[in-house]
Amino acid sequence: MIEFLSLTPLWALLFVPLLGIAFFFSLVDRPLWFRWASFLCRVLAVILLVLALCRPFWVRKSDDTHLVFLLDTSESVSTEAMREAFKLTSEAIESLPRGDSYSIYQFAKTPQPTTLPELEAFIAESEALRSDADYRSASDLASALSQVRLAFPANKALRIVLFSDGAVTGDIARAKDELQREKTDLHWHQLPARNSPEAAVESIEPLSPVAYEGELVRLRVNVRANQKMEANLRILHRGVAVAEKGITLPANEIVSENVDVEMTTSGRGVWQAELVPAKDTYTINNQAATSITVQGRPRVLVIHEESEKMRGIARSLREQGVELDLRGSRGMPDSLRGLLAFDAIVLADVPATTLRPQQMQWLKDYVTKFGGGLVMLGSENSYGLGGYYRTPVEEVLPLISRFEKEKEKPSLAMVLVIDKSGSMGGEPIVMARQAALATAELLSGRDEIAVLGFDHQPQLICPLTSASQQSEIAGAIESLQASGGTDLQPAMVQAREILERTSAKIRHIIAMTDGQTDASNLVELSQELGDQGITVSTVALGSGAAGQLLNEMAEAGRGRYYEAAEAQEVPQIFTRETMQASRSAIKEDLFLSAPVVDHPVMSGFENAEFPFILGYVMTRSKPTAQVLLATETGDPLLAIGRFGLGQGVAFTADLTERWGGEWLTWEGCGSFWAQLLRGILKKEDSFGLATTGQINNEIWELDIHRSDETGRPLNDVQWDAQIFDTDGKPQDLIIEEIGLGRYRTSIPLEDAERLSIRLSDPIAGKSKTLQWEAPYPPEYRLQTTSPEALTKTTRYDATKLHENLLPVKVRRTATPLFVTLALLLILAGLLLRRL
Amino acid sequence: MTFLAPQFLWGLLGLLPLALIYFLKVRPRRKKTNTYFLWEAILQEKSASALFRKLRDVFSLLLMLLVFLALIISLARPRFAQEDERDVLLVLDLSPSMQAGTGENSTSFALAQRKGKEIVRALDGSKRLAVIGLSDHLNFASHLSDSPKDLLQALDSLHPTAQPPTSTSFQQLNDLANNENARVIFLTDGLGKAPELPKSIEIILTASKADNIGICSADLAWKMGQPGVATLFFRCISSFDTEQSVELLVSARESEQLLRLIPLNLTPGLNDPQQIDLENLSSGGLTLTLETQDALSEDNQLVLALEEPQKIPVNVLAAEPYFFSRTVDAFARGGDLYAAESDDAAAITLSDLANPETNRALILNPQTKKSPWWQDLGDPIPSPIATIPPSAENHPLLRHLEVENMNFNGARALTPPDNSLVLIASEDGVPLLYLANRDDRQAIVANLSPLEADFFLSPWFPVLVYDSARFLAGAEEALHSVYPTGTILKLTNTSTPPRWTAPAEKPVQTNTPRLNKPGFHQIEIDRENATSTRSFGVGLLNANESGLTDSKLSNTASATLGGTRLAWWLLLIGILLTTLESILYHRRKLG
Repeated sequence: MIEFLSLTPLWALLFVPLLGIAFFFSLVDRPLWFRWASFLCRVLAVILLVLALCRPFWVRKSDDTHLVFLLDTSESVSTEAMREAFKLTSEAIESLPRGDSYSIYQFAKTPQPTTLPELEAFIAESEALRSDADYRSASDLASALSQVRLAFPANKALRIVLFSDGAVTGDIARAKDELQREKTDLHWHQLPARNSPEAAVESIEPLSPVAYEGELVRLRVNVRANQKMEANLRILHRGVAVAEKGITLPANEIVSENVDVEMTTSGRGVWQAELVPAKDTYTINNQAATSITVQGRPRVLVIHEESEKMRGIARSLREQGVELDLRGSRGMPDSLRGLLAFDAIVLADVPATTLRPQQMQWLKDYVTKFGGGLVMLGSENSYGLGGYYRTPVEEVLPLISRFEKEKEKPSLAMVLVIDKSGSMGGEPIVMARQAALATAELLSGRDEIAVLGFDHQPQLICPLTSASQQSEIAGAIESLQASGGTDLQPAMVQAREILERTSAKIRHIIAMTDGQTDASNLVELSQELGDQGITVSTVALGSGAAGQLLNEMAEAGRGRYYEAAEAQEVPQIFTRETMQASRSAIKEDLFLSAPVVDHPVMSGFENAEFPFILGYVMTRSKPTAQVLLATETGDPLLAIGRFGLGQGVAFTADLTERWGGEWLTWEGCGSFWAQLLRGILKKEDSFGLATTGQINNEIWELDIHRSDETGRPLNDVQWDAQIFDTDGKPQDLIIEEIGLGRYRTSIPLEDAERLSIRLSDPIAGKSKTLQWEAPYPPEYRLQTTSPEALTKTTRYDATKLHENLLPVKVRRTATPLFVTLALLLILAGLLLRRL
Repeated sequence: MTFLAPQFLWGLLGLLPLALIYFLKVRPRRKKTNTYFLWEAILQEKSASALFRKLRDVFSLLLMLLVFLALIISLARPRFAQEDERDVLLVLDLSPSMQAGTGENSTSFALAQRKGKEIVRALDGSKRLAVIGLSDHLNFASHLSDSPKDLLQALDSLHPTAQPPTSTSFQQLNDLANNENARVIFLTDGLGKAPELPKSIEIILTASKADNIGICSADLAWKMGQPGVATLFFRCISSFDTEQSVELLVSARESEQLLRLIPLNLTPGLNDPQQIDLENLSSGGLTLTLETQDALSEDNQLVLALEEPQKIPVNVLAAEPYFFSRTVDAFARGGDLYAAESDDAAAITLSDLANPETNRALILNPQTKKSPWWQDLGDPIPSPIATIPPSAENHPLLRHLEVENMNFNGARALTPPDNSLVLIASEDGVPLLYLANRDDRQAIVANLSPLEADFFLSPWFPVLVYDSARFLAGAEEALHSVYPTGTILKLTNTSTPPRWTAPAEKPVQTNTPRLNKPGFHQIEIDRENATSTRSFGVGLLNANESGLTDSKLSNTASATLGGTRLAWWLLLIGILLTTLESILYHRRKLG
């Protein structure tokens, strides 16, 4: 049968009448039948050529087949099973009749086309445990079925032969539907499940998601093994094993083990089940975690370099029902989620230089976006002295570190010696400029500052200038650009020359470099400077800096040595160094604690006689802050302010024996501080804010229902919502209003390990925090059931490889035939003209 | 230049016989004539153009050589060497916005289809092409083929759908683009398509911004405590550059009676949502129609279902009926429950008896040893701590209960009947709340002592009564009035899959209907001897699709798609020259 692509070119048949007219009025003098025969040959030739223009096709039915062999090469498939699939594929390919074709694909996390030799090599790599573990960590069959469609040619019967153990993921039913619509059938050969010893934690679930402090909560841990084996099951909380038991795991059966765990601390905590089996292949599936909200005493984190000094106040507060979790300076949680476990956080004595910039940002988010309470107490490591000037933490405190320096304080001359070599290009030089600017801002009008940049030679960026001339200094600092090599020595010599000419009482050099420099006589020079009363502090930026040399210089120069892993830490170091060098931020004497304004947290203490303090850190209050207590000199002592959803409190004295001894012996100390802390605790009122979510295709679809107390839907809610990724980085969440009291948002999970979502209706004061944590990949589950859509798939039978295939239409072009015939007819016609 | 079928160049050998033919001497016909006419003819011929006469054969031979050359080269399928030889994956956007346009043949989809056909017709056999449709999934209308006929049929088989593209379908498209051996050509209107596409996907835009107004969100629900009054919520989007005044017609779905005409002044972009109370409504549903002439008509009409508020007749068979009756009265004011006129008329019974003579009951306080609803009644268990077994998680009866805050004091050890579903159990596994079935009877048993647990005064008592009544009456499934196309409904709280009927389609039994067809849908849920029917509307409801605003996508497809069809033109030239030679021959101009 012949079909044509298009009949439009039939217009060219108009040439035939032209031929006829020419023939009718022909002047050719040839015998009639010769003339006719020649004419007919030409007409037929033209007709054939016109038909060839229509692009003719031969149509025939065919049972030629294209087979795709799709092999599961994920972790759940053993290499023995892979070899079995390889063998079956090879045999099937050898048995293919002429006219059939095939493609081979292997799939795990993604599908990829392969060949038998490549496949054999992959299996060998897997046997040698050298295969790509990330690639083998999933079995996305739905995606594989979708993508192998590219291998199919049209005009052939299509069949996919799948070799898999059935432990696969994706919407298999949907993928099968698509194949069926496209007349592609699927046969499945089930590979045996892995038989190497394997045990896994299937899930851990608390019998109640909410518990009370001191309560025993039963955690149900579902575990499974593919062989009978002994195992140890442990429950971990904050990395410490709180319960442990030995269990016997039968083969291929889920065992539910109940473990009772006491909820010792309030807040939202994570509990992890860990299985230590006697025999195992993969460890990734030996853990699972759940979170439990423990209601009870407020949980407050206190960070103090010498945390034992806070035991006194901790005791007083415990009597008031507030639990302090005392930790050293490195005890700050390393995730936003860790911070959220606490109701308030107290920075008692911890410099900003021990916190990463990201941690300070989390502290700010903790207050502004999650409604947490933040308290800073006075110490040599607090406020400006601790390097908090212009940090995210200072943004959520009611006091700022910059203050008017007292006249009686000695003047300071400071030279910043900053590496401006080529390696400082980009963020480091920007941060160095910021650090220099912040340093200049912190100095008083009687102080002086000079900035020396150096590469292979020194360059005076800003000569020694009074700190009152801020704009000139700022303009000079902005000209600091990175280029050239690194040689600190000439710059230090020039810094000495600058400081030798000033009459300031305190003279200080801060030298910073990110590279190696010629040691020459730098330590000796620092020693000489120290002897001259010029102190030298040094900052090593990054791991490539000459840390040892800089440390020795700081020691010889009677200053301090800092290591900054990231350029972002440099401004905190400079401001801290400036405050410490100026020796003007701390006032130590006997000071009154005088009430200034009424505030709910002062309720009941309006007429109280607050104790004396023995010292404090000088600060200045922000315009929006409320100063609750002040010293008789007018300096703020206790201040509070609201920042976003949370509150920040600043107490410029401390609660240790050093400055706050009187406070600790005051009878109202415990109740006052307990009341103050309770006033700023993280609160969450989610009544009338219901959420339901489901995860589809790596997207967390969240439906939110907002209603009032009577259940009436609430519309036009001005949501304030953010999503915080694994690193605690926030991103605004767009919430769409879709119905009566109904809102919706979608969160792409992608490769996130954990996410926190903060939903807030700020006008009604409702908020809710949702958390999601990625479980271990489904590939490592010890499941024995395959998706229903797969189990209903026709089983592969090598002897019936060609049965039940749908015959297809095959179209082959007939143009060459038409044109060849036309050529022959033309030749014949010409011959007839001349015979 | 290269040839796709160079073997046909052997056909050039055919030029030899052609030339040989011209070496044959044409023998003149013998005719009897007188000398006068003979000499006259000879002289005429000689005087016309002796040279031309000599060249007649040569001209004819030249023309025929050209014809043969054209046809044989055409058979060899010449092509320019620099053409891209990779396979082409022609992806047509089938999203609803592709239906936008001023007429049937000028929609974005029609333009895309025409462009696709141009590409297919230009195929010269040098490459294969696949035709793929993109909606909420990728649909291979034709696998890779070099047969234009198949590909044209595949293009004709595609039609715009009501389902907007999803992240999954775009992911599948991106996966296609990762194939180095194929070019992906995406024919799209580019309107409202948010995701950024990889540069390897070549885009052919078939439309630019179009003026459209559409309903992008809607909802309808009875107003609490006001029988016959429902609140209509809707939100419109406009892609016009200026403010537009349109009318929204609200009519009853079945009778088509106009209920309200709402004038709207729509500003460009997404407009604020509006809520309107509609009075004197009866159940059934509403049809919203935007009276406007715009680019996309599919978003101008929407059906919303409004189900009959289910008033459940309840009776009380209890030793202590006071609190039960007060609760029923309280809910009766809201129109949800009401006291049944007789025991027979009651759908649900509230009881503290061991065996209330009824088919559906909420039973509190199991105290009697003999009951069809429990056995092995034991001693009270001290202060049981309530837990939810995994099998009962997300059960509708627990939706409004805060189990951790419930007090089950007075609960006794007992064994529920076989096939019971324990919804709440104590830590030791004693059922505290369970759903029991016996024959065609069903009961929810709350194992607690209301007095010891202060249950009557707790907020959970009315909640349990209300939710139990709705559940036992089969009214627990909360469906919205309308869903966007492409939604997959998950009906997991039914024992047997419900029957779902989409507009003009046969019922399908499924727990997860895929709502692809706009219109009025129904779901029938079988429960023992009764069947409850739920309904809802399905509409486009997609601001991206209705917005029809320009996206960041731009034309990136290269011009050399499908080849230059040199062979076809050579064939045509061959026909022309053949005809010309024949005409000239008969006019004795050559040959």
